[in-house]
Amino acid sequence: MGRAQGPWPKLPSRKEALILELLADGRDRYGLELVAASGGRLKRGTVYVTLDRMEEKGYVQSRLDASAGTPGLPRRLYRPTAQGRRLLDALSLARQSLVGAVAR
Amino acid sequence: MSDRSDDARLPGQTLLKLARRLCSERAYERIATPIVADLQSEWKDAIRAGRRARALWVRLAGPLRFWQAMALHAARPGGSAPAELLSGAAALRTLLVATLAPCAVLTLLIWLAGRPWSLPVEGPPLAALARLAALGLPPIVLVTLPMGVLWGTWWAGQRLRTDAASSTIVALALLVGIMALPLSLWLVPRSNQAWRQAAFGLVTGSSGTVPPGDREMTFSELDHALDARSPGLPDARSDGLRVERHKRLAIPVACLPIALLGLACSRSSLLRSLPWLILLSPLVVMAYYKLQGAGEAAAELGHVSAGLAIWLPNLLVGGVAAALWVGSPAREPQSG
Repeated sequence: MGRAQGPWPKLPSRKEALILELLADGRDRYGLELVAASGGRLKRGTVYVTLDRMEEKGYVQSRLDASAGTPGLPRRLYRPTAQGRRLLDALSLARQSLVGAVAR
Repeated sequence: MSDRSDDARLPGQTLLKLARRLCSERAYERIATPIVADLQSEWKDAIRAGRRARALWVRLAGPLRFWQAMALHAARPGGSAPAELLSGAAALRTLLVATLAPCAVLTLLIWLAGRPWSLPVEGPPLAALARLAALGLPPIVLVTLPMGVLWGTWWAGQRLRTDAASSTIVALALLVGIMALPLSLWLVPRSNQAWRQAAFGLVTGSSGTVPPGDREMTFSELDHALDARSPGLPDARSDGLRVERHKRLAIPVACLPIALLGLACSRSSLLRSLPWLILLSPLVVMAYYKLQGAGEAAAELGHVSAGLAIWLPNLLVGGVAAALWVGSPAREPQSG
């Protein structure tokens, strides 16, 4: 599952890249916060499925919000892993190179 | 620590119980509980802010998002949903679009062809004309339904990878037929009668009551009218009532043989292409209605029984579908 084929690593999907970008500020966020911050590019019904897939791939890690003292379930907060950060850096670099190459 | 009585009042508890039974431990922890946690937080925020409408919306929309996410999780590569179901689910989406789109287009075309705005009166009030135009829609929707089902099943059938998923398509077509029953048994005759009454009032300016004809009677009214006539005595009026009563059931039920025909055509190597669909589907539906019309006339003249006359087109379509199905090769599951 999720194994790289050939010499190239499998690239994250557009949604996965967007989530990594939104989590890049270092603050832990829960799903609805990501949906609100995405400006309509992430949907409420799909965000946790994407986050679960990203956690399986090792791009993000999650924990339950220990600070919640009110009744109800605690929210699950997400942050990028070191691998996720490296992937985001690599994507940014690749994007810059691509833009530079096209503009030349 | 959360209080148990407070927790019980929060939305999403039933969803969690269902998810606990249906999902894997991982899906429960990573998909179900975060969604319910969001749902509960949003609901609490809305209640705290005194926004009752917002709280109600959260309660209603939350479960939809929950099941959407659970379905997506099950449908992901390596998920728990079997390939057959996924193939069927993709086909169902196509079926819905391909059924509703021709229904909507045909309804609009037939409605426009009836020129609902051109009544032979001077300066009719716009609201009355709009009402008249709206009342004309239900019978047109009912008549276009077989065409929609034929398109939908034919098109969706082309997307099936194996024959096993055909049953989901048939089940949905059956559901469409069942949903059309109240339309056929009650709404269409009521709307026909209201249309006649409104048109009569608009044209004559009179507020007199127009007596309903056979087509303006609901199913139960047809039954009562038949019961009121002398039993056992054959007469043209009773035959007409019987024909109308059978028709009310036959058109919604036609969704089933027509769905089977659509699926059989989609399986046939010769007929499955779009040009055949465009060419044959209007012919099939027109032939269905022509045959039903001929049967109706024959039954009213007493040549055949009303039941046989009205149900024969359904039986014929079902027979052709069965023959096509048997004569076409089974879909082979594709490896990989």
